[in-house]
Amino acid sequence: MKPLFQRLFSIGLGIALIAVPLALPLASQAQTVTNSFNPGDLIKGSLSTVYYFAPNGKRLVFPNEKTYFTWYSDFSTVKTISDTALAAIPLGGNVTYRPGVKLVKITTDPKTYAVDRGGTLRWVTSEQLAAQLYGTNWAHQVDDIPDAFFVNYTRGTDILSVNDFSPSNVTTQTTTIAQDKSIPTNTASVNIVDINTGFVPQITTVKVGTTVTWTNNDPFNNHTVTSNTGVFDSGVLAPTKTFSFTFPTAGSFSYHCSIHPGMQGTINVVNQ
Amino acid sequence: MRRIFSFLMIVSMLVPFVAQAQQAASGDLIKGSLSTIYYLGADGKRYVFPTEKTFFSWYSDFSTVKTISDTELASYPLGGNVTYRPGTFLLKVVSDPKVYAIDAHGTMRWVETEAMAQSLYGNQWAHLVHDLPDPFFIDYALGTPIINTADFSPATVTAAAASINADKHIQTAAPAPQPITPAPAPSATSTTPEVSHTAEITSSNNSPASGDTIQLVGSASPVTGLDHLTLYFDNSPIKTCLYSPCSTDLTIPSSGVKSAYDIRSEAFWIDRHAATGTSSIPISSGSNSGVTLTLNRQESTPGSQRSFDVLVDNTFSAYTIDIFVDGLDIHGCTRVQECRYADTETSTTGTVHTVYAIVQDVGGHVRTTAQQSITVVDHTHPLISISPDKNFIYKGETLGITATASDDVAVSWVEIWLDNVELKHCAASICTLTTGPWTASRTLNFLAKTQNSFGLDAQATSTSVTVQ
Repeated sequence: MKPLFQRLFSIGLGIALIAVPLALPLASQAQTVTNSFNPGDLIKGSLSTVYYFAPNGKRLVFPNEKTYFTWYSDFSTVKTISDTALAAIPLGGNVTYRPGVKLVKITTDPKTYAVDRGGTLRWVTSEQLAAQLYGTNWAHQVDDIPDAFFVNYTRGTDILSVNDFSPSNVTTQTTTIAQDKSIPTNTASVNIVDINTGFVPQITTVKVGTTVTWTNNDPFNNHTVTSNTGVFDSGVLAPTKTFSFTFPTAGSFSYHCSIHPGMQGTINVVNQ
Repeated sequence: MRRIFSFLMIVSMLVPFVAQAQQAASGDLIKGSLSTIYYLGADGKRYVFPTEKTFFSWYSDFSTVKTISDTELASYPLGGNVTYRPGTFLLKVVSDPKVYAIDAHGTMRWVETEAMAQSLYGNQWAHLVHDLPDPFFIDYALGTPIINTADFSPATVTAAAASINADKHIQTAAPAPQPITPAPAPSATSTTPEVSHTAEITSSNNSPASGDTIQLVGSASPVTGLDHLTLYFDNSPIKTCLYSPCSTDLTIPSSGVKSAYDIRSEAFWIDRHAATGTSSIPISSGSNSGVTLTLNRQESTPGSQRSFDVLVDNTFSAYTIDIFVDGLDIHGCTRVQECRYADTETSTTGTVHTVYAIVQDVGGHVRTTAQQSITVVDHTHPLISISPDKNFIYKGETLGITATASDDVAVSWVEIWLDNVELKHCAASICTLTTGPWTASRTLNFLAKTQNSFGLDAQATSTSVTVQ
C-alpha cells in the first residue's frame, strides 16, 4: 500500500498557516544539506522553520521569532537537514523565553510577568519592582505573548521584593534550552528511521560519558545497532524498542545495522 | 439637542451590551473589545482557539459570540488551548507527513494508510486534512495508530464530544472537595449518659497485591437504632447496609495502583448519632512477577561490553525501569516495556558485580528482580547453546541437532553428546548432526560441549525431545 504522505505533501503546502512559527529570512538559508548534527544544534529542513534538536532526540519548536531571539542573536549556526530526516525526529514541545531576558504579558490581562527557568511566569507585583529589576526602561522590555502560547508557560510564585529574583543571574545560569527545560545533557538520541533513511542523525558528536539511546522508529522492520569494531551491539531491536550505550572513552565509533548493512552511522566521542 | 440625542443613542446601544456582560456562563463563546474569541469553560477559565480552523471544527459561525467587558474577560484566567472536535477533520503537521485522526480529548491517532483514511472519511478524505502549525502540536496527545476500521469511528467520537467542556473534561470549579465526614454527634456535651457510638472497618487481607480480591467488613456499635452503614474504598462508597456487620468483596485495582488505599465505614443512627471508622491497607509490592532481567553473559573482561535487558511482560505497564549495578542506578528507561542497556566493563579482574533491576508501574507499584552477578575475568568462558529441530518425533523419524558456540576469542571445537557418548566433534563454532531414525519410545537430552583457544570449557543441555 502506498504510504499516505506521498500524496499529501503537496496538499499541505497549499494551506496557509494562521499562527506562523519562526521562519528564517530567505536570504540567510543555508543550502548545504547535512546528515551530521549534534544535540543542542539548531536544525531546519527545506522549509524555513527552525527547530532546536534536544539531547532527548526531539525537536523543539520556537513558537515565534521573539522567543528565538531571546536565545540566539542570528541564524548563522542553523544546519539544514533532509526533510525525511526532519520528519523522523518527533516534535517535543515548544521553546519558551530565555529566563530573565524579557518581561511578558498577554493582551487580555494587565499583569506583567518575569520569566524564570523552565518557562515559569512570575508576576512582578509593582511598577517600582519592575524598574528596580529591569531598569527605568522596563516598559520597553515587555513582550506580548499570544494567548495560544500562554499554555507553554506555568505560573510560579509572585515576585514581591528585589531579593526574590535576579534577571541577570538566571540568564547567565541558563545558557542552553536543554538546561532551561531540565533535559539531561549527558544524553543523546539517534532515531532508527527505516531502511532508506537509516540512522538520524547519521553522524553525531557527543562528549565522553554520554549515554546514547537508539530507538527503532521503523514500524515495519527489526534493526540492530552493531559497532563495526565490536564495542557494542544491541541485538535485534523490534519496532519501538530502544538500546542505550554509554561511551567511556573518546574516539570515533562507526556502527551499522547487521540486518540491513546499508544502514550505517557514526558516534564521535570527544573530551569536553 | 443634537449632542444629547447622540449621547442617548450610545447609551441605548450600551444597554444590551451591559446586560450581556452579566450573562457569560459556562459553555459561552466570549470576546472583549479585541477580536479574539474564547470558550468559557465550566471551571471559570477561558480557553483559546489557536487557529480559526479549530474554531470551525466546533462552530459554523460567530453568531453566538457574546461581547463582555475587558475587565470581566481579564477576570477569567486562561485555561489552555481548544483542540479540534474529535472525528471532524484529519490533521498533519507541516514537518511530518503522517496524517492523524482526532480522537476524544485531543488525542491524535496516526492513520497509517490511504485506504484506511478513505474507508473512515470517504473518497474526499484528502480535503479534510488540515495542517496544524508545529507550535500547537503540543496541545495534543499521541494515541495508538488506527490499524483497522473497527478501531475508530469519526461519527461516534464527534457525537460523543457534544461540547468543549465535555471533550476536555472541564469540571465545574467547585470549592475544594470536602472529605466526606458524617455530621458530628450533636450531643458531645450532652448531660444524659451516652452510649459510645463506634464504627470499624477491617480487611480480610492486610497486604493485598493489585488484582487480589479482598473482603471488607464494616461494623457499627450499638446495633440498636442503626439507620445505615456505608463502606468506602479509596473515598468512594461501595456498599451500604441497613444492618451491621456489613461486608463486601472488592478487587484491588490493577491500573492506577496506589501504594495504599484508605478504607472507611460510616455509621448513622436514627437518633442522628454518627461514627466513622477508618483504616488503610498497604498494597503489597508483590513479587518480581512479569519482569525478566537478562544479562548477555555472567562474565566480562575489562574493556568488554556488558549488556542488560529488562523485559516487562504485558501484565502491567511499566513507568520506569532502572538497572542497578553494585547498588548504583546505571541506567533508567521511562514508559517502555523493555529497557536495553550496554556499557563497558571498567573494573579489574576478580571483581564480582551484583546486578538487579527495579521496575515501577504507572501506579507506583515497585517490583525488584532477583540479584544476578557478573564476574570480571581475564578470559571468559565460551557461550554455548544447543537446540533440536523438533520437540516431539514419532518412532522411525530422524532428529536434527545444532550446537552453536561463541566467544571473544576463537572457539576450538564443539561437540554433541548423548548418554555420555560423543556423537560428533566439530572444529568450528557451529556443529550440526542428524540423529536416528529413533525406533523406541524414550526421552532424548543432548549435551553440547565446547572449548575456546584459552582452554576454557562450557557446556549446555538441550530441551528434552520425546520419541512417541
